[in-house]
Amino acid sequence: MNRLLWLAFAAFSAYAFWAVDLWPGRIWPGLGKLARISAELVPPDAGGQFLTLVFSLLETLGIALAATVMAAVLAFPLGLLGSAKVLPNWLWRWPLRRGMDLSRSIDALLWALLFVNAVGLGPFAGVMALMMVDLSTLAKLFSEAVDHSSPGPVEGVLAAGGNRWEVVRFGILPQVLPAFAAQALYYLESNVRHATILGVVGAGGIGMHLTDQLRVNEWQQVSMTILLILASVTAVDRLSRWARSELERGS
Amino acid sequence: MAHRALTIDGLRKAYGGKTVLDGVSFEVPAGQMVGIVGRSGAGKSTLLRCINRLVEADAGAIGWDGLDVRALQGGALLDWRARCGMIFQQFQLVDRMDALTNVLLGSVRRRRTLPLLFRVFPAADRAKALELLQQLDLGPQAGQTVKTLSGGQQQRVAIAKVLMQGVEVLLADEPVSSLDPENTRIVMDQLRHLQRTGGVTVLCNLHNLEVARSYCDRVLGLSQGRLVFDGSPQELTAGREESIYAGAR
Ligand SMILES: Nc1ncnc2c1ncn2[C@@H]1O[C@H](COP(=O)(O)OP(=O)(O)OP(=O)(O)O)[C@@H](O)[C@H]1O
Ligand SMILES: [Mg+2]
Repeated sequence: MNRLLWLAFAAFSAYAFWAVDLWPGRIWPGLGKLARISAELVPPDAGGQFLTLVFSLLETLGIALAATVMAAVLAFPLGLLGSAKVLPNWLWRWPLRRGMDLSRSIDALLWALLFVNAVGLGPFAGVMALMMVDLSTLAKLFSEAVDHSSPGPVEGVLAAGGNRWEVVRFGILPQVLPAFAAQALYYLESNVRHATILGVVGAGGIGMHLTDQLRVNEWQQVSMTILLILASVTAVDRLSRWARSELERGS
Repeated sequence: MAHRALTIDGLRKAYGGKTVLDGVSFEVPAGQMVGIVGRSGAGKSTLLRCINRLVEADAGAIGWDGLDVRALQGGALLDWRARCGMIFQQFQLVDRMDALTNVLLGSVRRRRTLPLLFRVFPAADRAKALELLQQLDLGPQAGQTVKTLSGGQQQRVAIAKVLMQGVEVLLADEPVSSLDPENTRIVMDQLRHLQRTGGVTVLCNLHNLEVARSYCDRVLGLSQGRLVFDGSPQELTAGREESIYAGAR
């Protein structure tokens, strides 16, 4: 049985190599071209479009921020409702969780294509696309954090006569909110990286310029754009990492 | 009113076929301090949790001052829990919040939910809570996160909370089992004080018989879900002690 599986695997691999035309002979000319392009990348130059680039970079950051905030705001109630600790025997938990699994398994770029078709070109489609992926992941992570929260504070609030709301607010939220905020920040970082590529399918941000520059072989502008992206991604990473460590310290 | 008492009558509870409380009956006149002893697994915690309905008993009756506790529903059940406080071995406080907020949570049933959810408490409540913390020598710790307090300090916060709650009955589930002798003395003195000056009826699970002897008016012995001893600390002789803790496992 095992041997059969290996055989099937080997056969499929061979097919894959053949299908993508993988051949060492192809990589050498490619490498040569890459070397030539690298030489043309320097010095980086905005081609008189520096401000335009900066503004679309801001748009990219805006897309990432809006998507993260919306995802977090929506994931909060969904995550709570998804936990048995908040709503025992809730009939909708199963469809809710499966729906989340589904929306998470579709890549942001694919969502972006769908939304560009649905709501037209531009940053709004980008926001929706990133939000779809993050919403489900955040809600799921949040649900699990609530599931695994310790029963102690809940008992303490119940024993004093607290109602359902008060139990959630004081028994559960203080335990899970810091982790939730940290996760949201982590998604902000990852969204900034994702948002830079969304422009490729017309969903707004710096990616749009990058695609144009690549199409017309403006290599100096390409390197300038990449440098700007690198700088902003690094800045957001730093900021968010700092905020997360602050959260950890505070909790 | 003439005869205020906590009455437990034929209380039964089983977990998946395993009997934990096997027809427990006793009556505690208001204002008494009762120690409940018994080996681990005897059902002491389950008994207390049935009384404030954190656990639902299978059969039997629980009464307090004309109240049929097992029949309470909705708001009336929450009212009962507010009148009947509980402190725990592991404190069960909101340990990521400060001591003052935890004490204020004792007033949860008397105040409206919405402001509470935003941690908005009446100024008078805040003053009262601070005063209670000061009485328990915790004034300087009022703003400190509970998690960073020592065990003895946390248990005193829990006591301030039930004082804020204004309880008539106090259920204490091994309140001193994780404390050193010094803190054990402080906490037990507080419970005694609550009972003597506040007229609070105290039911206190204890695994240290010496503590039960020196602080309680009366001792109940539980073994395998049955009441096997009910008497004064003096009556709890070495022989009787053995019979409580013997019992085949
Ligand atoms: N939620 C539960 N589910 C199943 N069994 C339980 C549950 N709670 C308690 N039990 C069982 O009921 C029995 C009595 O438990 P209980 O906690 O009342 O004992 P205890 O006298 O308080 O013991 P200890 O001194 O160790 O605290 C134990 O055998 C325990 O395993
Ligand atoms: Mg116990």
